[in-house]
Amino acid sequence: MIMRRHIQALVAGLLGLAMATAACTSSPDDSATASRDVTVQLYQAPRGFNPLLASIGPDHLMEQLHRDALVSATSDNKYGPRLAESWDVSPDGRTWTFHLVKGVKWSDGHPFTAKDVVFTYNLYANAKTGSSYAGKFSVVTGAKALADGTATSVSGFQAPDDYTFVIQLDQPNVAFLDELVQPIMFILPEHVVSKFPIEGLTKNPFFREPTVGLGPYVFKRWVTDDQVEFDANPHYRKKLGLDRVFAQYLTTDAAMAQLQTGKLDYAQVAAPDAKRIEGLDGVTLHRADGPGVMALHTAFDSGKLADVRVRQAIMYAIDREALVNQVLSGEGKVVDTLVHGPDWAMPSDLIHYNYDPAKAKTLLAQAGWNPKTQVRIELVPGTRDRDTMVTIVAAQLKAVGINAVVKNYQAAELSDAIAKRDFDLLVSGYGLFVIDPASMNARLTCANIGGSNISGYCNKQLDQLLAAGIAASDQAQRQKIYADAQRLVNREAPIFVMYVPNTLAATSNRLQGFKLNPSVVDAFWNAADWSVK
Amino acid sequence: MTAFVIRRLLVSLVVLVGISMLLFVLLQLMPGDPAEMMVDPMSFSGDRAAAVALQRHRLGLDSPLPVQYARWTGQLLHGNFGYSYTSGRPVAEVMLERLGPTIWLMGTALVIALLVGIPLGILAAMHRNSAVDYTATVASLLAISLPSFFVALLGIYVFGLKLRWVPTAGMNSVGGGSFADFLHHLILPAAILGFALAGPYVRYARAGMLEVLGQDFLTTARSKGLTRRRVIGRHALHNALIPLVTVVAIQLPVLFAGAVVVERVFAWPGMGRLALDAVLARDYPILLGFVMAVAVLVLLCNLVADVAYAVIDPRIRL
Repeated sequence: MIMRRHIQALVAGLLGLAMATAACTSSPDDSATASRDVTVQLYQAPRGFNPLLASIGPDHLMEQLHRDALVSATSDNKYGPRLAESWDVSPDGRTWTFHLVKGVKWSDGHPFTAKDVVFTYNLYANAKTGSSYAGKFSVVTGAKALADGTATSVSGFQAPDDYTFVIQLDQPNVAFLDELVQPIMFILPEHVVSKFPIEGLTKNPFFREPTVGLGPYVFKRWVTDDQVEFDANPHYRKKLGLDRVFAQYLTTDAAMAQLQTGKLDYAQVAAPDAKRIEGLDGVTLHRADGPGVMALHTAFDSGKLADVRVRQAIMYAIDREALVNQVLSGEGKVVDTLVHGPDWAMPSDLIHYNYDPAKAKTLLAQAGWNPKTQVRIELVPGTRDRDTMVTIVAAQLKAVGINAVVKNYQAAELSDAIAKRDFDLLVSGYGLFVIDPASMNARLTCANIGGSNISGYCNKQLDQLLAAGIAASDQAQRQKIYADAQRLVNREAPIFVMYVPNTLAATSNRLQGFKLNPSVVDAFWNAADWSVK
Repeated sequence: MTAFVIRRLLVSLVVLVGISMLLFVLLQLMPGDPAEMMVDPMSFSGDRAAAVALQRHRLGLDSPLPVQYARWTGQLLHGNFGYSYTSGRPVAEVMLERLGPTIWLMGTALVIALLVGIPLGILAAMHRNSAVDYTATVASLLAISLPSFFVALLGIYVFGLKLRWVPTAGMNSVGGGSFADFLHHLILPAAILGFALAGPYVRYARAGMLEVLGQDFLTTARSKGLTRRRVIGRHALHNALIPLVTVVAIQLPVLFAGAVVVERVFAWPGMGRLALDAVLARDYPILLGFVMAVAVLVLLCNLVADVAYAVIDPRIRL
């Protein structure tokens, strides 16, 4: 009896404490209206601010706040000026000249000049710094000398004056700009980073807590391991509409909940949630055609899918329209080549791989396909759309006589499989294939085997076409060349393009000036234009 | 007793060395290579094999295993736990950062579980087969059976989204808040974890109490004319709770390791998530530091449990 009373008192006490603390902290609404702070979602845990390393999405997003670059892709799928207000390429396609914005200062007041750009690009081109992008600059004059050790810098990166930056190439490339926007090649401060030794550069604390930046909102502190605070850059070249930006790692579920309670101003949206978010009060859904693809990749080393008829059969066997409807709730579209834009790069006579299992079976019979051959579908499980997609794909392939088996890998094992080039139908989504068709070079040229051409696909005819495509400066000529290249890629199906998922994001109505970039890792590209209502 | 403790400590040391060796070997057996993982093939441009080789050399992974082990042990003896492969930060720093939030979350959950579970279990035992007993038994069964992520999501939906009583995620409001703000964020995850933990405690308390209630010495106490309160509070209670001491002591290292699922759902920056992320990223230094820390804790807690048992129960001689 007495015990029960004690317990009742205890429970009452605990409830009281809970109520008191709930009452003490102010409700979300009244604190938000006065502040000019904004909270944005990072879809994975952020690691740091090192632009040299193969960036993970969240790090790249944070760098769009803290740093700046010459150019980036815009929300209209064009190359947009940032620190380079204009640029031109010589008629022979070998000299790129960038005219830099004048009067720009680093966040510590130090002036920004072409010296910073030359310094940074030398770091990118030098594999010894741990740079993941040395391959992009292998065609720059003097890059080879740097790699061989006969030079200490790349002679092809020049700064004829403080506001002009020139890249000299050994071979013509009129589409070189594409290399600078995916990912965005951020500029580092020469007056700070040049003091660090190259050996162990990536471990330098500057890349974890950067002291100097060029972007609109510069790093202030790691509030916790998952949350970063950015303050308005006092020396930014435009007037800024916000005081602070907080970037926080949240899973999709938590982000959706926070959007609805008004605690979050930007979040990525998964396709199945799109309709529901559209209907919410106080939240705006942004939708754009995705610039990348979700595709299946095969390593050509094994020869399993070497016969083009087998590859075409795979394309016909899968009902990709149904995939978009079921897996993406209609938020996407089907394309038949890697590059699906701009319009001038798309010939009208491409084969459309519609859903035709009968045709698939015919092709397999012609190719003498052995139905006992096991074809693995490799993926890292965990994302709803991919998990559903592979189940459907496996079933549809089995229906035409291909023994497809789903293999779930951890990310570490997948890296292994890619390194060994031992995979049959590896699921991966990526890319920015809508601004210039030269964007397919990274994935399909012989030279990129051992790098971003993970399939190991090598087609001399395609190589010739793609090389000609970046050497031609006449637009009409380029159009003709890429029409042939697209037809080849379309017919050969070296990469099995499943669909192009829409890019979806939600912002609170409080956040103004947000323009959705079709490339989801470039979501904060115009943070300088953000403000609050 | 002292001899016992010293003996146990020496044995623990040997066990720790064995664990570290075993862990080292097991990590190498895991498929996947941290050096490969640091060079993402989908966004890398250039000679990937060379870049991976460079990384492997930088991380010291190209040395033979015994050399790597000796290097790691040497570092450890100097207090250096190594550096994370993914972030490059010192392991000790990363772990300490996560320790605070985990201890707060787990500590509060443990306190809630004990404050709710034990009295409930005792009440259930005292009023056996009554409504209270049945409620407590069903509640504990639910607590044990319902998966924690389900309850967590339900909790967020009801209390965070619909009722708006508590925030839906994170450890603090953006920009770091006051202590009251921190407590506000702590309530829901701690309550949910406490609910999950309380399940077994209710059953242990109830079973222990039932066993003690039937014993002769209590009949003696009652027939001496002692009030119910004295009988239960003074004589029965601490006898019933002896097994609970062991349970709690053994559960402490598990709590330290953190509830991975709840931490993930609530975006709580704790040890559990750190460990899971380290496993997925093959971040060996963090894994080694984490497992060694847990191993030390397990050995210590077992020792404390045994000593506490001997202290509480004079029948036991160490």
